[in-house]
Amino acid sequence: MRTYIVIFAVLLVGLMALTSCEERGTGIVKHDLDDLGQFAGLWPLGDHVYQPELSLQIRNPQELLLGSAYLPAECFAPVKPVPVLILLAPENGDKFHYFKSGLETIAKEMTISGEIEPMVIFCVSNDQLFGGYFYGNSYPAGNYDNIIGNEMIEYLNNRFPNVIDQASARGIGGVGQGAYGAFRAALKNPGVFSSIAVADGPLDFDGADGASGLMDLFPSVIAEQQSIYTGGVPFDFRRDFDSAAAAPISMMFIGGALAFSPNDTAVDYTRTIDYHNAGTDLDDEVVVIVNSRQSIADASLPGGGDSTTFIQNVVGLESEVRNFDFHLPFDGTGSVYQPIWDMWLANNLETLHDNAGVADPLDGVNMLLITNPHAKWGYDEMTDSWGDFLDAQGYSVERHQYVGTENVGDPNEQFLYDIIREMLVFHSRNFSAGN
Amino acid sequence: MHKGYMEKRMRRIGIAASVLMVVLLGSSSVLASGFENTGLGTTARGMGGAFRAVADDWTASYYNPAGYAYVVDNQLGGNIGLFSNRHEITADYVEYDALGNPYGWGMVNDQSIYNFDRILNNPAAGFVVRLPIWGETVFGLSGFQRFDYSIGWRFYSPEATDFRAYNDSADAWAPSDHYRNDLDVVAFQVTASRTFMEEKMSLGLGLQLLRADLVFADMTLRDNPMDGFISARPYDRVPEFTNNQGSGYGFGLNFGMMYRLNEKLNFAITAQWPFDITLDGTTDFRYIMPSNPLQRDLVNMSQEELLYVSGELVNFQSDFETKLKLPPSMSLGLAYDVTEKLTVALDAEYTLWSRYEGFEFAYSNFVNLPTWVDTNGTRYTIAEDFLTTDLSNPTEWDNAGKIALGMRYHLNDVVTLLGGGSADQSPSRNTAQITPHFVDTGDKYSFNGGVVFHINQWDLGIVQSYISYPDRSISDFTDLNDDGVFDNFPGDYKADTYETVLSITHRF
Repeated sequence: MRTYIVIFAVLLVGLMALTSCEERGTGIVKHDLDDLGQFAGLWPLGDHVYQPELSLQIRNPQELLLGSAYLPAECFAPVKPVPVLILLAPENGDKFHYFKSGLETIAKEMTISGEIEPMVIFCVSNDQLFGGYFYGNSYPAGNYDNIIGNEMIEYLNNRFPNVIDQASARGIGGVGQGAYGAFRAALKNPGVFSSIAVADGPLDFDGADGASGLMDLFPSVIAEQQSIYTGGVPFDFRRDFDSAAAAPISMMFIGGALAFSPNDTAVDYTRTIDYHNAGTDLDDEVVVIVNSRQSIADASLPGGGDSTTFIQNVVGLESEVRNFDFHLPFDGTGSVYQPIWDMWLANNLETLHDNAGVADPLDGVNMLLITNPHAKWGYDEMTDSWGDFLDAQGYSVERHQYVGTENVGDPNEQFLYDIIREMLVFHSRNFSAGN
Repeated sequence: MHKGYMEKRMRRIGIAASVLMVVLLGSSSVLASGFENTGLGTTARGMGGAFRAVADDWTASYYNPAGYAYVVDNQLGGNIGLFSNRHEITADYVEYDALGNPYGWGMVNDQSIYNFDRILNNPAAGFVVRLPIWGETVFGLSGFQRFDYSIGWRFYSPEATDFRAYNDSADAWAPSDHYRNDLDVVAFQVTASRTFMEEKMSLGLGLQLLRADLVFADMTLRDNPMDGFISARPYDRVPEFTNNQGSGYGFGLNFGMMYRLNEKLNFAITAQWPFDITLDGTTDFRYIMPSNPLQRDLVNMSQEELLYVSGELVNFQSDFETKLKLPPSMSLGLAYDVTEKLTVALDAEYTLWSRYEGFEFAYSNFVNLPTWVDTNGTRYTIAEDFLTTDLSNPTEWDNAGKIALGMRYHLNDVVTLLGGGSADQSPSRNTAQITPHFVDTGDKYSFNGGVVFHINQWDLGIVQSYISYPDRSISDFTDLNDDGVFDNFPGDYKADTYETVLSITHRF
């Protein structure tokens, strides 16, 4: 009997051990962001004065270009050299546009997991008045050609001394108008950037066939204007053109027109600077009259201020009765108005490429084009067309497409979180190869 | 029968019945196809469940009530099954677009995730007593878990999946085991059995009072109902955590027939019919809202829109009601006494699992819903339609069969050896409707072995059981009822279960 009891006990213990086994936990492995250091993260104070580039930009008396940045721990002690990426906001995008889709957290996570190398990511705001000026080059819209790939680089180098001042450690990108702005800056400043990653933007104004692209939107502007028109008399294109926010396509063309085909208007210019760091605000406000009659555009415009598609009294200064007037590239029927459209085409990326002043201005630049067939305003087709052009020039261009699922819907912004991750990986790979 | 002996016996019975109630209602356990119990008793379990045509101890109440008629003595017995589920899932909880781009939401993918290691217990107890009523009718009272399942998982971890951008507090706020299923259906069964045809045949009937207890925790990724940027990725789906805890009562019937074809061969037929049980209780809701402070601070929004960028933890409660549709089953059994010492048995069971349709939770009487007060002092509930939506966990199971083969060998007066196995068809074999709530990956095989020691009036038994599951891969999401909510859980499933059954029986 004793033997059986012993056997029973041994069996009991052994089998119980089998059923218990070891504690496995859940198997979940996490990354600890605290390892990055407490200072890594969003730095919102990237606003900077650019003079004279923004001196006559509409309703920007402080000549500020708004910006914010993601700063890696390497910007703080111990300071280590890091590359820099400039991201340009799309139309209506502010300086936090990419942060609203999680840029700060994404950058932290991908850095700590080793997916990307640490980098400064400087985010540039688009204009909040008309949504954006295509990061073009005119007085009313701002002379960005001398900012994005030039003055801004100097500013970043000074502000963050550990930024590597080499093209191989410098990237640029954006979505929408930011995509256009990124390529424009690279073409206007060859050799400044070594990587460009963009998603759906107006990258080919006249499309693959020379008769699509933005041209497809001309009738939409007319329809949009008629839909918001509330006047009692029949709608007149030149008289009743409205810049209301409810007409987003019209807004986009107003911004473009101010950048590419502004009217030669002499405007009164008042510059106000408020020094906040001494005395009372009232006492310290200094009003500076820079130029009482400033010409804002080339006087060689067809017809001067009297083109077929001349629009006036739409865009006003805050305290002036005078207005910034402009010319649209289409008439009241939605048909192209060639003299003005030619001015837009002079700013088309293909033209800028051919007129860059150097052969193969994008030579050695790694490029990524991201598209989504649901992109607004045909931006995907324009991006594809630009990609085809680059391919034809012999550049190596990576392309990636999102189509979304039933849940992840149509608008471009639905994918921005994923696009940011892909852009960061692309740039980081380029930076690693260059260094 | 001696009066003192009867009193003593009834006292034992009373104590046993009380203990039985307490133990069973406080237990947790697991297993078999769908969520059917693996069985009870060391002899039956040691024979792989092939016990319906043997049924000669108190556990016959579960396998074949007709077996009571042939139990020669009075018995008071109990057993406990100790389970350890050793499952793992490598999740693929990602939605892909037509070009293969993945869209995830903080579920840990591409890592082996284990269910929470818990030693689960499945107690059962009962007694058989011959009372001089209606001749030699044998009565019994027993309690056992007719159906039971218990498992818990955690897959949601934004911190482990680089998904903190949704809400960097989400990891801490998510319940520890956000997939949890504790489903117990305990049967308190009164059994009566007697012989007919000069003891060649016996019939038995068990009347069951069923008590069902449910703890069902779930995570549902709800479509963010807002437009534009507010619902753009990573904010496109809002995790909703629910914890439903409730119970209900029902009835069931357990019928058995045993026929002695000759001195060595027994034949058995059984049928079990549990009726539907309505479960009600309370539900704790927890929503982890998207956190987008920049959007919140810089853009004018309505109060409802603000909720979807607030990053708040929204907790509230409600009552719930759901129906548990339990499956009837039918069984056949054969037992053959090869020698005086060796018995071989074969069982076949068919369970109508197609009756089970999952859970549809209907919520009511909400408490602590989020509100806001306007400048006039009027209080409004925010996003009530979204937050209070009924949820469901539908399934599409098939009827399933099971075959068990077992042997019992009386080594001597003290030791009985047991061995057996079973092939258990899975009710989810034809569906992609697999979730961590019921890890039933396919047709299973169990291997059992054990020993019973007979010491005076006591029987002590121990059985070890291993259940092998096939690996299973679920590759795509399904939405059975088109409510926009995923009804399955894609991933690679692996499962094993170990069980040790201990028993003690007193014959008097």
